[in-house]
Amino acid sequence: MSHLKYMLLVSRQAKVRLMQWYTPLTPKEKTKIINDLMPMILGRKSKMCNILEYGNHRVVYRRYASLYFICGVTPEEDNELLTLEIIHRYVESMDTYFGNVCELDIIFNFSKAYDILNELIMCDGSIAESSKKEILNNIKAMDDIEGNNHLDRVLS
Amino acid sequence: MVASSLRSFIKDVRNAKTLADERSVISKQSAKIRTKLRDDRLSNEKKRANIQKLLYLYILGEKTHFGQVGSINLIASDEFVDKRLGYLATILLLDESQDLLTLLTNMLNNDLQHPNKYIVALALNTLGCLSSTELARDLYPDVENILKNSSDPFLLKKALQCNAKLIQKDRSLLEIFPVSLIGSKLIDSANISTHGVLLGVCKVLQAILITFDKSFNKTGEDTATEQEDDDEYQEDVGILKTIAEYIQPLSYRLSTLNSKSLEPSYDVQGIQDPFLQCELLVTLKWFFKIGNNLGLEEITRHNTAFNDRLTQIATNTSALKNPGNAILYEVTRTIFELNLTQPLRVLGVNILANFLAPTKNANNTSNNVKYVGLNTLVSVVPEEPKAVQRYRKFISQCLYDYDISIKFRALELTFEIMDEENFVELTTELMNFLEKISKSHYHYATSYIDIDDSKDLILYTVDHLLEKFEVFTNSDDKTKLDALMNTLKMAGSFVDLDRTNEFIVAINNIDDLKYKIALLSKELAELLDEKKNADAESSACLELTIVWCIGEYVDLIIANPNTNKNIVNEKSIIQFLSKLNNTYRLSKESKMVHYILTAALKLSTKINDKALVEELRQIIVSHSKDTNLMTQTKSIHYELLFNQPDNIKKQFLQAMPKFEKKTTSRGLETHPIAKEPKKQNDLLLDLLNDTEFGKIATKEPTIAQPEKPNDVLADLLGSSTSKPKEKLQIPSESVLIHKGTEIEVYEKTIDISSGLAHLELYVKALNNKLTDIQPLCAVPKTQKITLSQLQPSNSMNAGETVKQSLRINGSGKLKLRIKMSFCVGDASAVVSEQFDYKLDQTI
Amino acid sequence: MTRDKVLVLVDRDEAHGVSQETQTRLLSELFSLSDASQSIVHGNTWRTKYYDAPYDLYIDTHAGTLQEWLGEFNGEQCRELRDALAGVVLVGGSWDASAAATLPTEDMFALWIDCTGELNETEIDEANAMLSTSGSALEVVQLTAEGSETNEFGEAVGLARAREVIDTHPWQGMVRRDSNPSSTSHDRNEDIGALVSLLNEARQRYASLEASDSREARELAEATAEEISRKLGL
Repeated sequence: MSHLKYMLLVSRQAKVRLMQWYTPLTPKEKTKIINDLMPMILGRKSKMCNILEYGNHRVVYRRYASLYFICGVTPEEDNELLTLEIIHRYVESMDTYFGNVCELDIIFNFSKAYDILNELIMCDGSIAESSKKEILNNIKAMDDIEGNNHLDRVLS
Repeated sequence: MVASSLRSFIKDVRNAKTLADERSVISKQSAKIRTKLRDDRLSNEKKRANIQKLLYLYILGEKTHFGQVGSINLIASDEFVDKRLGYLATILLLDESQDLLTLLTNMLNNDLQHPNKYIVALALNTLGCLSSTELARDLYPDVENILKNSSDPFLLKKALQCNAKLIQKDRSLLEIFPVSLIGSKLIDSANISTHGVLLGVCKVLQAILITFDKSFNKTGEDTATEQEDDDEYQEDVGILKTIAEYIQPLSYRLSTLNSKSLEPSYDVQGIQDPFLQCELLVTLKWFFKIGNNLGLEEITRHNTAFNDRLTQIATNTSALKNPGNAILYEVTRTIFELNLTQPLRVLGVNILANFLAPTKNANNTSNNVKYVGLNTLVSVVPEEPKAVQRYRKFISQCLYDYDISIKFRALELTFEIMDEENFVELTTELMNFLEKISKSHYHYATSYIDIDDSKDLILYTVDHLLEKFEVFTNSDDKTKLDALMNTLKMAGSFVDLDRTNEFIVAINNIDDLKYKIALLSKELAELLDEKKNADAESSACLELTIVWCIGEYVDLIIANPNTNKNIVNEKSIIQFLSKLNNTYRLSKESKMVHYILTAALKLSTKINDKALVEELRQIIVSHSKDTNLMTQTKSIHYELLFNQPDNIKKQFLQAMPKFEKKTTSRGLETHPIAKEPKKQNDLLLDLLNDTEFGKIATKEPTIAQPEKPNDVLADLLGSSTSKPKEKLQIPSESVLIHKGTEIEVYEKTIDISSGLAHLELYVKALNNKLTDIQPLCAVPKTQKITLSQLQPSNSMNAGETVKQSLRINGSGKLKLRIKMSFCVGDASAVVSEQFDYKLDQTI
Repeated sequence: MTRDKVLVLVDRDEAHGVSQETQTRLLSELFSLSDASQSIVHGNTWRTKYYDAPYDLYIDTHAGTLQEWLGEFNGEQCRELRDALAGVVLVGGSWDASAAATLPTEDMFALWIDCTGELNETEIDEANAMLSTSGSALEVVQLTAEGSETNEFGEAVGLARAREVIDTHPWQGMVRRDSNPSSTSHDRNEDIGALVSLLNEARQRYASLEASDSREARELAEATAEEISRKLGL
């Protein structure tokens, strides 16, 4: 089962590119998590496993190109192996949407990255939709409505 | 002097400098956005651009709270593009606790009834993310309405997700939520029951079941009247009976998913939707967890079918790739959480053990599987020890994994499966491991990370070995003694000198004196052989232990016919002490000096050569002006004792008795408990109470110098420094967890990290003097508790406090059942007070 | 003060340093610099598909240890220079990694392009892990012979990775080129103007392609079509 506490996208340069919190935390707690995790994860060797213990929970991460996708999970509740698949689904979805997504795409289209994430993962941090096709169809439909709004304005 | 090129760059920078604006760009930007957001006349396009920039700052970690109202305002726009961004910004910038949420109520209410399904979906998602209890109540009817009337899977999916969150927020919604809505429409319909909808159904059912589980567990503790409790219980059972009808169809869906691969868009590396499979498994698990607890026939009648289904999934699912392993992992967790039948439990262990099996292409994917495998096995050892032990080869192999976290888990598991039977085998394995890792520490460490890691591993191993040695009293003495010596030699330099006491206690407690002497004489021969010793590394820990052993066993060692007298003799031993004394005389390591002094004193009764005895006296006298007051006092005391006639001296200086272990019950636990080795000074104080020493001491006025005789003797035996009893205060940050007739108990959390909690209990005697205080603690099955000695002693006067520190390893919620027994006043009858304490934390 | 200078330091140690040829090639490949003789080059533009960023290039050469150079660079006298930098690129042969870790990386990108060719992927990875654990944003890449390869994480390596690091730097003087309808506001006429110039540019590039470059031509056509549809808000 999946019940993420948060999803962070961090670059190899230790810059946060996206963060979504699924449990209420104070800004201070959030900053602490980010500041603690970045050196821990960036310093790990590539052959090490993608699960680590941190504070009162567990962290599952995966690196794609220059980006680290980092999820906080609850031991005993979350299935860490499944969390890795969720991250992978997210990356695949963005890859298809942007066409071979890169860090720069996410920086300049972060609201799209959030839109895709919100289709994939529901408000409590569980997986909401397992089909990449379904996710992208809906994103595209919403993009189209935005486009039509635009067109309406031009035509009227 | 700056190089010319750098200088030319500086010059160029100066030329380019126009009106210098020193403020950082970011603060300038946010100030600009702040002003603009206040401007109502801005077009929506401009507002949107500002919110976009604001979100960018949010990601950078800047303060963005001032954008909250602006975000909500954007939702009020009629255009989709505004709403989409407005809702996103609202979710990110607001949280559940904020007053601003009331502003949202109306907008959400409107949008939940919007003709455009995407706008409804945005509103549902936002409601789910930000639902306060109030918001949940106000807007629940809209959500229910969608569930009732819509037949669009997209909308139903979103409404289900939202509904699950609302139920979690406000339990009372269950009273009005028509659970039958989930029914056939959502689970069985070909057009509607998409995977997304099923995931939503799972979430709603989980929300209901978890809420029930919580309240059933709470029943009895609550202050609500029994009547209310009972009514609520009956209602809950009613709902349970209704949703129990979904067990079969859900289970059927699970089996179809698992056995057929139909739709490519749900395929993950050959596995059909592992996400949904796992969620279905978890949902069913919750059904059975609660159903079995309550003995609810509507649920329990599916037990056998469910067990068969689990077996079927375990057999059908391919373990070649991660998605399949994710499902298998979920199956094992289901088996152990429900504590299903023995064959299933063994199946579970086999699956997990397969996760550890070495693969040809070792990569981090296989490491992840190893990690969860080891981690889960640790928690199932209590249920299936034999089944796990069967895989000790695999476990041992993981000790040599490249990945430090795997090594740690494997170590943990190795200790977990250790018992009297496999004690020798596993100890030998651990010795190999220690040897390898301490070698690599010196030779192959490439970065500081490695060094720290190997040190941690070594310390972990040493700690747990000592623990186990104390638990397994019947195990092979030779193995133990060899292991103790080897550990000291290989890892002594990593171990804190203060912990050496535990090695000494362990050596002292070994019964096989003959082997002990043989081994010690061999070790001494090695240590004293100057030719060999020239380049060998020796640690303070090892030296301290040897010093103690010399004081304790020197006569037996010399009398041993196999001892190489050319190397090991009275003279060489005293020279060794003398040399060590010189080395440590000026160091801050007073502990070592104290041990040397004690050894010298003991030795003086065991040898006859006058010249050598004088050398021993010199060692003692050499500290009579020591700057360390403790050492100085000790030196003066010992000199006094030294001059006593032999027969009196010998009475004090008999061989140390075996340290007795106090039994600590584990209550709910069945497997042997590892106790924290006791601090030696406590042991010694205990010893004094029940041996002859105390009595002799009080009769012997000559020794009664500035300190009490007891203290002198305590020093003598262990050279630990005994402090005057300090009055223990209850720390201000502790919480009262029990108030009984005789005692109050306070808890202070020292540290809670994953897998480990360190707590302190402060027990205060309220009205009477309490003696013979015995704490008993029990923890859930997935955890292990270690109790230390009561501090400062196991008795106290009225108004005084004693401290008990607890270490809990394992995983799960922190729950304690504590029983304190004691004698009140001068009565000899044992009285006890028992209570439970739940921390709101998980390890 | 806008941080719009990029400082390149080239190791010209006689024994282990970087040759003039390598320096020229690298500067031309990374910064499209044609004249390698200048040490200060004004008026460059860093282009990505999302923005243009103007910058000046400062090229320094050094024959001693990196520590010596950093001693000066980190000194008070160079504060003004440091505050004007968008980034630093170390082009090294045989420099000491622990010295490199003292390069300030706050508010700027920092790259170390290794030209020795002696490091393998794992070593580079571990060096980078060590740098990030010690809090430095400096990233080591290797000047590889071939251009576009990726490592086990699907990440670009070599100069391509160096370009990515510079791409993702938040340039202070950045001018957005993107006219994504949901992001910044745009005048419709501006959009059309941009569209026309885009089409012209594409046509010219298409014409300059050899007949054999059919794959590149197809890619260009696709990219242009995508760009246009985005600009139209479709």
